[in-house]
Amino acid sequence: MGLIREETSGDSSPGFSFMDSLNSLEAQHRLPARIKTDFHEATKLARRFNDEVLRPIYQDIDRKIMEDNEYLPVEFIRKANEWGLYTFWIPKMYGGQGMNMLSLYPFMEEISSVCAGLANLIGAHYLGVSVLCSSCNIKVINRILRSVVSECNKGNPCLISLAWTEPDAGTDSSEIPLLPQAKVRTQATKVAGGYMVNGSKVFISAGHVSTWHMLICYEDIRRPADTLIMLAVKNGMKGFTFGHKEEKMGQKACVASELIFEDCFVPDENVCFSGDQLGGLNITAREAGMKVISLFPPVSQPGVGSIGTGIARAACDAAIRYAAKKKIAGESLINQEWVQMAIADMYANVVMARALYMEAAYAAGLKSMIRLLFAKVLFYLSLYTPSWVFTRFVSPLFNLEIINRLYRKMNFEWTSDEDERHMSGLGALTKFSCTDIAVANCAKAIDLMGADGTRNDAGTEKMLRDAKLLQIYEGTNEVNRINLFAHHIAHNMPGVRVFE
Amino acid sequence: MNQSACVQQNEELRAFHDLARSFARKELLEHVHEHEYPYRRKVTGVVKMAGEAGLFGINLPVNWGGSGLDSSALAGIVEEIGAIDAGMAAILFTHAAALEIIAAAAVIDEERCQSIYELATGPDGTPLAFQSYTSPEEIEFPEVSGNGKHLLNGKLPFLALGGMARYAVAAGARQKDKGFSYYLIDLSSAGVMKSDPILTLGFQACQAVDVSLKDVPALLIGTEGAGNIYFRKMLSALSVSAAALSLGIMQGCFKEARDYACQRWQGGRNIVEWSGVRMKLAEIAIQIDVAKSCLSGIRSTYDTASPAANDPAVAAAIHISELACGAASEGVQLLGGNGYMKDYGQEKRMRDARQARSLLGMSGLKKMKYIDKIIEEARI
Repeated sequence: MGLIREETSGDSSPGFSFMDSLNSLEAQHRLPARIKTDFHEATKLARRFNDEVLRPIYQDIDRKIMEDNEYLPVEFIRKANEWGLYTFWIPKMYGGQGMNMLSLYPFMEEISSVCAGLANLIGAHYLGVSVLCSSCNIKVINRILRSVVSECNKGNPCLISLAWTEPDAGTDSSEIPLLPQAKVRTQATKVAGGYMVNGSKVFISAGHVSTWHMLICYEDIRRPADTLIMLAVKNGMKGFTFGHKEEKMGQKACVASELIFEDCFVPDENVCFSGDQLGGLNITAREAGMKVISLFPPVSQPGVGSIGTGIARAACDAAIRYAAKKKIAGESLINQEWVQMAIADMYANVVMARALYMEAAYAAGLKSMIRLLFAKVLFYLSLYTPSWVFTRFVSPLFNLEIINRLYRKMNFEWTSDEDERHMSGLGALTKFSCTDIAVANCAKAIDLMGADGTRNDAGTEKMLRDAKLLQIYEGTNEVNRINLFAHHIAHNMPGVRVFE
Repeated sequence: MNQSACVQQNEELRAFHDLARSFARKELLEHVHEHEYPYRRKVTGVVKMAGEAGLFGINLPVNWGGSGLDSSALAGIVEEIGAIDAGMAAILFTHAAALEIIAAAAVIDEERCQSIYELATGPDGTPLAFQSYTSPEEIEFPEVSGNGKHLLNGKLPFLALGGMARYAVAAGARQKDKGFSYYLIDLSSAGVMKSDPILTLGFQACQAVDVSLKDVPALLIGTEGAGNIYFRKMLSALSVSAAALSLGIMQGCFKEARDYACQRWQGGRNIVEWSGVRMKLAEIAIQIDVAKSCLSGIRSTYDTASPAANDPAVAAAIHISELACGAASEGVQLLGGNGYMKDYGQEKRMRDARQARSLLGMSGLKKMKYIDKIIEEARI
């Protein structure tokens, strides 16, 4: 296809822009060389974690939750916290360990190759972190993340969840073009000193085991796009309770929670984003709200892609091991060409998925809201500066209004539309491709293994159950296809309408 | 078959379909999830009711006390039940497969086979266990020893219904190079060790177990060494039911997806008004109609056609089970997050559809066998 076609501007035909799909070329000279070492370190850490923590427990946890849907794997979370996994990828400037955030993706691939459900108990936390960061309210981000680190360091795992989906607004609430007509119900009403929240959220990953909840709700539920507000709700706040736990097909270890808000008072200091905070910016409340909800998917969706890749890899691995061991009428199954071809397809799928999420990771390092962390000077400065320097000298600066405004200006106004379009399309592409591959590889593995592949003790049936959720959360794969179409294909085709 | 006999059979068939549909709606619909892990002990009661309703004797000869209907009639019933609870349909299927083995052997020695049947379906009336998820090529048979009697030693992996059945129809081989035979085993005999029910992706009601046998006495079914002939006959007869089971899953999936799409509101309209949703529904509907036509064609020729080398029922089972896996997965997508939850039926259908794909053996092996036959015939 026209991947090497000359880049043109104003071309009215669908683009196969070179840079829309290839970021590694630019990344290799613009991103710090150190990230390669970090990838290796994160992978090594994940493998150790798999051997010492995940493998011995994941099947038992899955089965326990089948038997008792109220069970929560708190012991695993405590263990993950002991390993420092809830602060490892929090930037040093916010008190965390400051591991390069892009290395979270290969880490997630690795641990998802054992159990995507338990992996998501780590992934969902970093989704919460990235949503908090997308508010670009550096003062609140700094305070909350420092409190998370402080609690984690005391041995109290302190996770952050994203509370967004509502019973009647799933796709509606997360898609910018659909938001104006979404039937949302969670409303934040301005009262003295804060907001009073009423409503409920459903399908919240890791909700019951999180301490903080990044609540996306609306000041006027009849005008959600104009009145979007992000609040940080902490467990124990009056009026906030947990509802039921969903009975899911897979990823059982990562609870999907209902969160209920009944006259829940959220103080002003916990308002991460609202239309009232835009003083000094040349942007409307609606535009800013839409920026907030479009900033984090380019960072979180490669993560979903990496989970999918991990499952796809595990399924391929299971099929290889099975075929090598299984004899059919005295002959080894793996010596059949049709089996070798099927395994080759699965292998190719893994390689393609990995390449894709890494391309998206490079793009995130170059163009997303975390790009500053990968500017070479800042990256190495952060790497070699002791944490106490950040705490003593940098952290107080985040309380200055001017810093907050500058930071928001940078993310809300100084991000190019072209970069935003590119990132949104690539995130969508990565999300649906890698997760479709995950499901396809699981299906292929089970097909190849026959009935043996459907046994819980073979592992593949759990992989399929787990993989299926990836096609649904963070926007269904159908919606992500439309997003790819909108951002990478239809953007220079006047007259083409999307989501209408 | 003359016209009046044909009319009579059609009426009988319709009556059984109605019975199956009403049984499914009355006894299964509200309790589908109770038949799954970890609650599946509740299955025993509903299995008993199915037996009392006559659903375990569809493909039995009349003089054995059955309904004397052919396998295509059984397929219709499996389809009706499968649309509501594929796990229960798998129970009917497994029992029917075991019966077909006995019936296939009865061609040689009807009296003995009838006595075996009567023994197997004796006082407690539980269905027969059978390795209905595997083909003989995939498994190692227990060894048969003993002079004048048959003592089985070895393993019977993945014995479907083994968790609740009293008797099993199982393959064993005295000498590996002389072919295998089928035997009736009393699972309550000394020397039979059963695992806990295997936790499977789908068909969890159908309680499969791994069995170890140590000097377990067994009754030979039919002729020694003729197991492969009986299996092939059973495969030919039951493949249409395997296809029908998958078709039933697709129909249940379509109905739930259509109803949901007509009611779910997103983007300012019911989601059925989005063309992307309609296209997915259209694809499932088309697959269902193609599968129906395919099965109808097979059923109409079932009595008259001489068995072809490339049995179309086997082809239909392979193809329709593949369609069902895709349709059920899309059925989950159409319900979004709700489709993934146990509050709706789609997640179970997705699991059951994948389990149905393994009925009567690995799909890859079935395909290879299928083409082998065609090539053999072409060479002749």
